[in-house]
Parts: sequence; C-alpha cells; structure tokens
Amino acid sequence: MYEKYTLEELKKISQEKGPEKLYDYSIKKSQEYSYLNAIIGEPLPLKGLVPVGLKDVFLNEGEIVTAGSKTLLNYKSPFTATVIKKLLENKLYPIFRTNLEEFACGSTGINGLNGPILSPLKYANENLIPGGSSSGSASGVAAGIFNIAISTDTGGSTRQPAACCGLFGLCPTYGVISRYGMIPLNSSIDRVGIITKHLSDLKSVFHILKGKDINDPTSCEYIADKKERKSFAVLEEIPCPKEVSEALKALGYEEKRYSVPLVLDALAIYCILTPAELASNLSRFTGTFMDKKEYKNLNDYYFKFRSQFGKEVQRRIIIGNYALLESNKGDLFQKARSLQKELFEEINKIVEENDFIVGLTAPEPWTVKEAVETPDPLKIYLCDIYTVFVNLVGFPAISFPGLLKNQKPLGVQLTGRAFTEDLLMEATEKIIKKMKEMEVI
Amino acid sequence: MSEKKYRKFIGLEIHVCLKNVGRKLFSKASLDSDNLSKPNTFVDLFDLGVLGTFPLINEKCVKKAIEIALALNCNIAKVLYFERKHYFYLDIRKKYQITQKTFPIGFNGFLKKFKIKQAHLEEDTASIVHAGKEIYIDHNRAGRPLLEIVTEVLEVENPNDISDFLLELIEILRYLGLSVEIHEGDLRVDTNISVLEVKDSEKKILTEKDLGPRVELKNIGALTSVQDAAMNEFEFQINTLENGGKVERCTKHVNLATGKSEISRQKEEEHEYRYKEEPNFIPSEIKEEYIEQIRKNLPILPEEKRKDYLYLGENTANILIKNRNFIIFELLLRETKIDVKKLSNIYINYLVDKKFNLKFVSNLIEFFHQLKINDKTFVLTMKKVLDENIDPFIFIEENKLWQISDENLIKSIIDKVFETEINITENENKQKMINFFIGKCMKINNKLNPYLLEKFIKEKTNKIDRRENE
Repeated sequence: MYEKYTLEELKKISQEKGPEKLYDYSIKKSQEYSYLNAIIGEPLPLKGLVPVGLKDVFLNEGEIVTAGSKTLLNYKSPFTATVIKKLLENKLYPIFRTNLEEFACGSTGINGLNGPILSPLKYANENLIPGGSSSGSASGVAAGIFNIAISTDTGGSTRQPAACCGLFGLCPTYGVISRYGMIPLNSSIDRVGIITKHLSDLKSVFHILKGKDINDPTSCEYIADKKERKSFAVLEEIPCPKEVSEALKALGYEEKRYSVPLVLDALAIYCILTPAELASNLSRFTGTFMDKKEYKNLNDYYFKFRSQFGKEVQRRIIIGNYALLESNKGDLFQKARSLQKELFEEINKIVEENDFIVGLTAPEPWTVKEAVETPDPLKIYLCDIYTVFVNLVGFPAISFPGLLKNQKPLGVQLTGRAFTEDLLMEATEKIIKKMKEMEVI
Repeated sequence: MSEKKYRKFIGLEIHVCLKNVGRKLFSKASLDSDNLSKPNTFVDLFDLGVLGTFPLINEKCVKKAIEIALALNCNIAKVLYFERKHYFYLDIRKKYQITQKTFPIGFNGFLKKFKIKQAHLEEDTASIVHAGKEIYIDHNRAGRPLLEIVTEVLEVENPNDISDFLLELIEILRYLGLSVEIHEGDLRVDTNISVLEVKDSEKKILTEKDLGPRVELKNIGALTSVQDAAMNEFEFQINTLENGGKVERCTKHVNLATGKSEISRQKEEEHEYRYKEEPNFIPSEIKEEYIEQIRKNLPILPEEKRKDYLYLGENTANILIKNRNFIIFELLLRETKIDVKKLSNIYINYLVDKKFNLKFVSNLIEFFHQLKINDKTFVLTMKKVLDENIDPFIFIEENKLWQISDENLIKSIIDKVFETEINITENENKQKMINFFIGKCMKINNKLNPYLLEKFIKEKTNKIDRRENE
C-alpha cells in the first residue's frame, strides 16, 4: 500500500526497487477504480521516479489535452507547461490525466468527460461526490492511484474537492505558480493547485512548482512571509468548527471575530466575473478541428462546433457575454469588479492583523445521486460558498482533513496573507497534532 | 433651384505599423519586414491563439507609441492598460483583439488643422488571401504592433487640409525612424465622411450626434487618393441630398481600378465588442520621468527643422525637409563647405531623391566651385556620377575636361577671335556682343574658364571703346 508513504519515501523506494514498481502499482490501482471515471485516456509513459496525477488542463507537447471537453478530444498540445517541466526536473512525472468538469466549470464532478466522476468514499452505500472542478485529481488521490495530484483553483476547485475526499489541498497566492501551458478559466484569479494525501508532500511539491516564469507575466517570485501574530480570525459568515478553534487556543492563539457580509456575496461576484472571462477565453473555439465538409457557411461552422460545449459551459458563456454587453454599459461586470475591490480591502485588513482566517472549506459533500438529481445550478454553485472569496482577493489558502460530519469528510480552511504558504502549512501541522492530542480527530 | 449650402465633415482613422521594434506587440515572433515571406512563418503560439500562452509586452512598441504621440502634441496616459475587443471573424485567431479603449496611450493632440482625439496601441489582424473559392489565412501580420490615430471631426473648408495633414504625419513618422510607404500597408487610412445642410446647423455647436449619417471609406490605396476619395464622397452625398435622397450610413471601399467608391457593407450594425480588460497583462504606471526621457531624446521634427531652412524660401525648405533629405544635404554641406544657398540650388536641381556616392558628388561640386570645371562639364560629369557611379576626377582627367584658366592662353584666343570678327564691335548691344565673342572663343576651345573669358573680353572691348573714343 504505497498510500502510506510520503514523497521522499516513495522516491527512495523507486530508486531502490526501480521506478516500474510504483508505475505498475499505480496502473493496477487505476484499473481497480476505473468505475470512478477519474482518469482520462491511457497511462502516460514512465518518465521519473514518482508518478502524480495531472488535471487534464495542462499542455504537454505531443499529448492530447481535453480540458474535460468533447471539443478537444483530438487536441494535441503544441508545447509543454512550465508546471510539467518542473515536475520532470524533480523526478516526478504525470502518469494519468485526471478527469475534470468541462473547462473547470463545476463543483461536484457530475459534468466530467464521459459522465460523472465518483469519489471512492461512500455514504450509505452511495458514492460521494469528489467535489469539483478538479474531481479526478482528488478522487485519484483518495483511491490511492497516486499520492499527489496537480489541479487548479479558480473558485475552490482544489480545496473543495480536497475537503470532499478527506485530503490536503493548497491554493497558492495568485502568480506564485506559473500558469504557462495551463488552459485558463478565469485568467485574473486562476491558480495552479496541489492535492495530496500527506501534508509534507504538499510542501515539497509547492516548493518544486513555485517561481517566476518569464513566459507568464502574471507570475511572481515566492518570498515567504512568516511573520506570526499568534491570532486567528473567525468570520461570522463562515462556520468554524469548535474543535479547531479550541486547538488553536490551546496552542496559544488569540481568537478574533469579524463580520464581513460581503464574503457571502463573493459567490455572486464570482458568477459574473468568471463567466465573462470564460466567454472571452473560449471565443477562440470555433472548430478549427472540424472537417471542412460539415459546414454551409462561416456562421454555421462556428455554431455547429460551439454547440458541442456542455450545458454548464454554455450557460456560463451566455451569462458572461451578457455581463459584458455594451448596451448594458458593461455595467454588471464593472459592478462586480468594484465589489471585488471592496472585498479585498476588508479581507486584507483582517489577514494583516492575524495569521489566518479559519473556517469550513465547504459544506458536507452530497452523494453523486443527490448531485445528479439537483436541477438548480445555483444550488451547485453554493458548494463554493466558503472558498470563492479567497480566489477573488488573491491570497493563499489550505484545506486540511480530519473532521467528519455525518460520517462525511469535512475540510477546514486556513486563509492567509500573500506568500504565507509555509506559515499556513506549519500551522496546519501544529493544529492537526493538537487535535490528535485532544482526541477530536 | 435654390442654392443650398452644405458643410462638410471628415474624421480620419490612421493605422500606423510600428517597425524597427524587433518583434510583435505581444508575441515573440519577429516582424516580417518585406511582406513577401512564406505565409505563417513569422508566427508564435500566442499569435495562433493557443490557450495557455500569455501576452508579453514589447516595451519598444510602447516607447515608439509615446514618441509618435508626443510628436502629435498629445498628452500621454498615466497608465499602460489594455483591453480585449471581441468579434468573430476569420482574421483574428483568438476572436478578440488586444487594444486600448479606456486609456489610449496618447490623447488630446493636434497636427495642422486636425485635432487628434487619441492614439492607441493594438494588434494587427491576420491577412485573408482569396484563391478562387478557397480562403487562406496568413498570420504573419497577426499581432503586429499598430498605432491607431483617430482625429476629431474636422469641418472641411479647404480640401488641401486633408493632404497637408497626412503628408506632415508621414514626415513625422519618417523622422521617428519609421519607413512609411502607404502602398505597402505601412499606413492605412480610413475616413468618415458626412455632410450637413447649412440651414440646419448654423447656430448650434455641433456634436457627433448632430452630424448627418456618416459613410466610412476604408483602406484607401495611395496617400494622394485620400483627399480625392473624400472630396468625391462629399460630392456624392451632396448630390444625393440635392436630388431628394437620403444618405445611408454604410461602409465603402475604393475600387483601385476605377477609382470609384463601392459599398461593401450596407446598414452597418453597431458591433457588440464586449470590451473587457486584458487580464493577463498587469497594468503598469507610465512615469513622468519615463515620458520626459523620451521627449528629451526625440529627434528634431519636421516643423522645427523647416524653420532652419525657411530663409532659403518655402519651396526649398519643403524639399529639404521631405523624407529627411536635409541629412544628406547637411553632409554635403560639411564635405564641400560651399555657400548654403548655392548648395541648395545644386541639390534641388540634381540630387533630390537620388542615391549617390557622397565623396564623388562633393568632389565634383568642389571642382565646380573652385572654377576647375565649367557648367557644361559639371552637368555632364554629374550625370555620369549619378547614373554610372563614375569617379568624377577620373572622368574629367580622361576626357581632358579641366577648365582652362591660363590667362595667356585665354587672351591669345580672344585676340585671335577679335582679329577675325573685328567688324562686329560696332554692334550697339554690348552684352550681346560680348556673349557673341564668348561663344566664338568657346568654339575654338570649350574648356575655357567662362568667367575669365568674359572678364578679358570685357576688358578688351573697353580698351577698344576707349581707343575709339580717344
């Protein structure tokens, strides 16, 4: 059972027993759990010591990248993402492209390529949702196919699936990990995320992937901010599990309470900004891969191709374009941006005064059956209610597992100032240790 | 029929391709310098709209744009900010163009009679090539840096204002190091034309909404055509209104073969461009010091330089200013060290727009100035130098064209001529007689120094006169 081992231990095993050992094990596991629909396509070639999962939005020259969409089933990457280059340099390699909600639009995993993606965890004999949009990444780590998976986080797409699957998830500061070669959703708030079984692996992989990239002008260097204030913030709007606040107090942290109603509106802000970005980014998809014989004229060509987008993607494109219409004076979009700015001012003040904000990562996960039977997309958006404000303000956040509600995993989220990833991970370690001592997990 | 009067309004949109900036505006692809390269060879993944690539701003383009904006007397924006302009068409791979709407890099300038509304940076589109029924798209041009200069609407009273503006603009661009040939697509001019009957508009201060429906003329081929095309369109609109018709808002293009404007798009709909900030470009501050540094290092501009030469006359000044001709002129001045006015005459008569060997030409001018050769030799040798790049010294030597200034020889020839033509001295018109003698002497030896010849002939005729009067 290789799940027990950390990255360093796995590297050693690979070096001593040969990298095929882990490679074959991973493939065997993926076959065992193929019903989860967490993987897209065939296993990738052995290229290092430790295999990892890779959300299918990262380009790798020569490989097909689908972004979970029918429209890209034959799309071969023309270049290699910086993230993959860095993995390979450090002897990690992607073994599977993990399934995701089409173009990263979703929070449950029900809109994966070829159908819903399942979590190996169950409740009353029903598979739980793995969360979204990095559903396959989380599901694959939970199933033990690999211990580490690279994902993305735009509204909670790394932390929320990590929470649903009882794993660690890191959403780094905007810009700290290069997005060169990553298919974007919302370019102004997208992050590369990491989902792991072990906390120490989160740290190792973060330090491998971080750094300014000249090919991504929105990227920046990571200069750790480790200033401790020894206090944590709790927002009235986001429930904070008692076990966590008690543990923190026992560790000598002071609790400070705040009220930021705007935090709950973050979802509404997000639901204007992100669709607008998506509509803009996906404008270029007009069917360059289609057979010439299938169209009557230019508009027909565009129309036929773009009809292949899934319902959620179509929904968001329409909302996004509507928000940008000049006949609306682009008002909706501008309003959302000003609210985003206000939100930033408030959150910034809070994280400056404290080490981090503590709260639940996400509401308890549904079963896949419940998610599939939910007709209202807005209800599904609510899965991100506690995570989305972090993306809008550019700060990093970590989700850690341990707590349960109704036997379903609950994640706890720590949100810090920019460049406090190390500080957050260290605090997480301390909190978990304390909670174990207090026997609450 | 009553004589109605019409006011004419024109607005110009000029797209200037920025050259000498190394690469495209946002991609790493180089600029195709001669537009003759194999298609799709000057492209980068960004130009092809591959997801996961990012715009990498070319700072040289920003600098060049500021230079041009300053030369057009514009204010410079405080922030460098870009937006996406979305539309679905073949010539734009990403289906949006990165441009500037809210904060154009230059605004509120002026040149000649036109006020400049704004100058902004934007990406060029790909070129569409029609081959029978098929359409091919060449992305060499996609992403090239363009500066779009938009003028305020001008009421046209003198049609030449249009050409004056464009010619001056072209000179400014040349002075800033941009080679500008309108037929090579370096400069694209679109005009917006409308007319208004005088009775409707006498007292109001007109805003754009008050003007009649406008017709857009696109991509006019040669610079000289812009004014003509505009004037033709004014006439067309006036005639339409005179005959009780209505001017429809539309887009026309000039048919290069017939010279006539043809409608390309009727009933132009308002495009919904859904402008949105470019999220992958982090807006940056354009600092005062940066602008000042550029302003300080601006080369001298045509208007300024023209002042230096106005004393030679407006026409001469204009020729010397055109195409930075003064650079060569001033080099010649340094080499030959002759009087500016004399040199300007020589330059204008022989050397404008010609390529020549500086040493050869300056040597030839010096020979002439030092009276070592006469006018005829000068003209003949100049032709040889310009057409065949022959060393003037060698040519004059080999053909024994040096002017003769030997006084004794000249005097002996004069004496010979006077002996045979003595009867003519009785002619009343003195100068005509002198010229006659000069001609006769030149017939014997055409390399005689004409000044000395004239001088000695005058002396001789004076002597003869005195003798006769004694």
